[in-house]
Amino acid sequence: MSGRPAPPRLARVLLHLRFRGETREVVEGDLHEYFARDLAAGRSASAARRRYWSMALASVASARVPARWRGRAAADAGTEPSVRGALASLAGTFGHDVRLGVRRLGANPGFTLTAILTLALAIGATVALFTALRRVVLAPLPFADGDRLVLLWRASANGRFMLTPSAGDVERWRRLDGVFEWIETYATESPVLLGHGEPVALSAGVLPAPLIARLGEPPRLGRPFGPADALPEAEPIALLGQSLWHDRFAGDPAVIGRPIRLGDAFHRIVGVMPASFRLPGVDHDLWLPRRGDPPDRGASALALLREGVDLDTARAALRQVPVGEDVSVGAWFGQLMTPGDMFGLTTRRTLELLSGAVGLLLLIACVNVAGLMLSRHRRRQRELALRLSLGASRVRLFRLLMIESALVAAAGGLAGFGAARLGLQAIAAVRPASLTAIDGLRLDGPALAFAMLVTAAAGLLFGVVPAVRASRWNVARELAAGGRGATGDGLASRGALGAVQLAMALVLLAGTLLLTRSVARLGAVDPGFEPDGLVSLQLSLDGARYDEPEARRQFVEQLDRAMREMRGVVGVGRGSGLPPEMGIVFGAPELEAGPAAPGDAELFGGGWASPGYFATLGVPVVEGRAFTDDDARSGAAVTVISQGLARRLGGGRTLVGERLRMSDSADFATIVGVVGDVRANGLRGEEGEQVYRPLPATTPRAMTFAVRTSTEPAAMVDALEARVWTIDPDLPITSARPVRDVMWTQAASTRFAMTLLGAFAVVGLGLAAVGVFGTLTLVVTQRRREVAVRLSLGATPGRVVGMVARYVAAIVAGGLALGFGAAWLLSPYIESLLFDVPPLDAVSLALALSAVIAAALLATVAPLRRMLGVEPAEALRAD
Amino acid sequence: MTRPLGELEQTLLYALMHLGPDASGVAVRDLIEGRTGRAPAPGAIYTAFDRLEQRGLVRSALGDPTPERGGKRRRLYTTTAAGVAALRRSRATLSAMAAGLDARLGRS
Repeated sequence: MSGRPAPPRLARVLLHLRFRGETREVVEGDLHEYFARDLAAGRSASAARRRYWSMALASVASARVPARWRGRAAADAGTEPSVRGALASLAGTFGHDVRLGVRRLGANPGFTLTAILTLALAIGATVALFTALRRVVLAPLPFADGDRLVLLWRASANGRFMLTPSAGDVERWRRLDGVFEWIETYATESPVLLGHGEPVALSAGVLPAPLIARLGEPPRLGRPFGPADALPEAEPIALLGQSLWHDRFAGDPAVIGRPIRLGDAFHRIVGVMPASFRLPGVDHDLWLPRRGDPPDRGASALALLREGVDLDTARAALRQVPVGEDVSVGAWFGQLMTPGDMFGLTTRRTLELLSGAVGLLLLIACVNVAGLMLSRHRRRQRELALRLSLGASRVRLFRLLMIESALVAAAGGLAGFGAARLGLQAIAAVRPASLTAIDGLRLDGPALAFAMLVTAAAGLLFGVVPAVRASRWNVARELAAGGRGATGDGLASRGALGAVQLAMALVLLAGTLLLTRSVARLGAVDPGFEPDGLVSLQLSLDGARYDEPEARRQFVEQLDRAMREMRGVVGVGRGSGLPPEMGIVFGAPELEAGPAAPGDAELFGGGWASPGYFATLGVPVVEGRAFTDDDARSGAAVTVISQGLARRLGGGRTLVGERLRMSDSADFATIVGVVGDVRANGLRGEEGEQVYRPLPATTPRAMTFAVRTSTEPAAMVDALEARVWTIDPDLPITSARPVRDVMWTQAASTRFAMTLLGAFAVVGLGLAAVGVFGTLTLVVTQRRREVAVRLSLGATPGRVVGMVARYVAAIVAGGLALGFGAAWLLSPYIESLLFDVPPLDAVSLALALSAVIAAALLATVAPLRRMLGVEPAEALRAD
Repeated sequence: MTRPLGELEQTLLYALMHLGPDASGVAVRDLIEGRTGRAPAPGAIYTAFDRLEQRGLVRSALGDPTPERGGKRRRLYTTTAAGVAALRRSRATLSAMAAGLDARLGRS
């Protein structure tokens, strides 16, 4: 074989598929002979192969037609047709039926297009949402063993708080027998990228060297970390994330080997990770190898469960190991989360809710197409009856109709798959910030498989019932009726279909209205401060030049002064955070004079606050005073608490002057003031209980400035950033946003659900209306004669209207009853997304009900006009 | 009594008569290509030959494998008396139909 050109292997496979036995041998021999002859004649090997290919293809193609002739010839000769002959004949009629189906669908473009578009819309939405859901809930990690990866935390005994484990905890878990394959910890740092555009704080994952290899995701460029990179004296290196590589390095493959400046240190770039590489719960821009020992605290722990170990077993094993000795308060034990849990229950619930909604949409669409099919078959019943009477078997007829359904489904599925791409973009455009995982999602193999599954299911769903009905029609009756159709037949089932559609539309609409009202309520919540005109500016003073507290103090005071001098700035304060993303204080509050034993540790909003903090935010001082410059300078043991906490601890008595401590600090601090409650941890959070402390003497590195402006705050953001950089051009700004925007994103999950559900509801209601319209049009067509006779016998139009009205009323009533039932059954699923609105909110349900009734009425108008416009003589003559 | 011959079937029978007994598929195809400028695909030739053989118009035998055929055997075809008779009949039918139309069809 060596060196001598051989005939193309694939073409030979093709021949083998088509020909058997001797014929295969002889044909293949011929082709080989030509091939050898071509080579001997001095033709190039590729020219000889081309000829081989063309003759092989021609042979395969030409053999098809004679195969059928042969079948017929065998029948002529009265011999038993071979199995292949029978198959060929079946394939022949199948091909014939498909061609027939295509021709018939093409002959009625209005019907075909409507059906395909309806399906495309629903299948597109379904596939897009499935793809998003799969990434978030089903397979959040694109790694080989993604379903066995878990995150390990330590949780407080009451389960309300989770902390990252200490290095000692992880060691203890590693000693657990037969639970985990491995446990690795990784920390997240925020180094400042310098020298590539504006300075920016990056999110850097500090990984143990083996982690990338363990996850089995190789870099798309360069190399992963090796054991040598973890040595304390190793050269600093970095792996870039795909988006950082794109945004700051123009996707240049030549970055490998170049240095990247992070703060004061230079790292050599050794590779670029693919976009799919992400660790659960964080979006890292780049990764650095961890050199030396793991940090004692603050690292996330990722573990791979051993094969066959389920979540409950692992949880039970973790329960056996006491952890958290370094935490002063309470008892702690190990807890695990799946990566899907990391996206948060609300996000999961949102996507699950939307999947349900999109399922309803798909059902509505299928019912619609089933309705269309039914009327189409009905219009053709004369033709179908004729086919039956001419000897077509019912099976064959059923197959013919199912092939048409399958063709429509396939076209709808194909168009839907295209629509799903747009759908994904649309979902990504309105996604909440917590769902970055959705960005850049592509339709992949599983999505295609799902689309095919949905298409097949839809095809069956809307194809079978009409086809069964049509192939069961009574031939004699149909022919005798002259194709006018037996009156009333199928009307009841059509009406039922319409009712089901209206019911599903009602459910979708009610859900949308509930969410809309929730968002409106969220917007109307009194946050306890004045968010309008407020800008939040988060900074982090990292790097060696800010290692000295004095350097930090100088910078902060200089910036504070500079901002106060800006036109449009009327107040500046700073603290560890601004509502709704406030600082956090953790512990059990304990009054010196109060009950001896503190309660359980709890999480409070608050943190440290500058003297100007409350005034700038617009949080009222209810009792006592705010912090003063003196408090900040002297490091006095003072504290300010919020009204809610004061009420709970003091039970009505004034607490100003009393001394309070949180269980995590040894010293009591005097309560100098009580301020208004703020809704702190997201607007959904409980009415706030806050604990504030004065500005620490050693200025912290991370802080948030609150800047009150007299102008549009969005317009001030750039000017404020520029002012920061006039003082330190290398300082990264973590975030600079109007507080209203921050609050807006807090409601993101609900708004996301509302937007998509709204879109589904509108489309669903539209489709349902079209369905009802179609049903009524059919009624009109079928009862044309009856109405004509009645009208000519003196019936008033009112009676005709009454007849239609009764029919429509029955459909609508059925639909509403079904819809309310379904809404009641489904209400628990939407509850967690609602804010201050009950899941069976009367206003929402009433609005949804009116919309459904309006849509049904709208769908009635045109058919009714047509019915009343019937000219008796003409209608009767037409038959 | 039997089905008339198709165009490809007639062409193949003519080719076999030109080539004499035990003609290979390649030889038949080369001859057709040489005389008409077009050649049917090998697969088509063999399915047509199969048909002719079933009707007893040709008979065939397997030859020996050769290296230039990649070790594959060839099938060698010979017309039968029935084949020659069928060809004669179809030629008669066609000439009877074509008689007197030479002026309009042209002689080829």
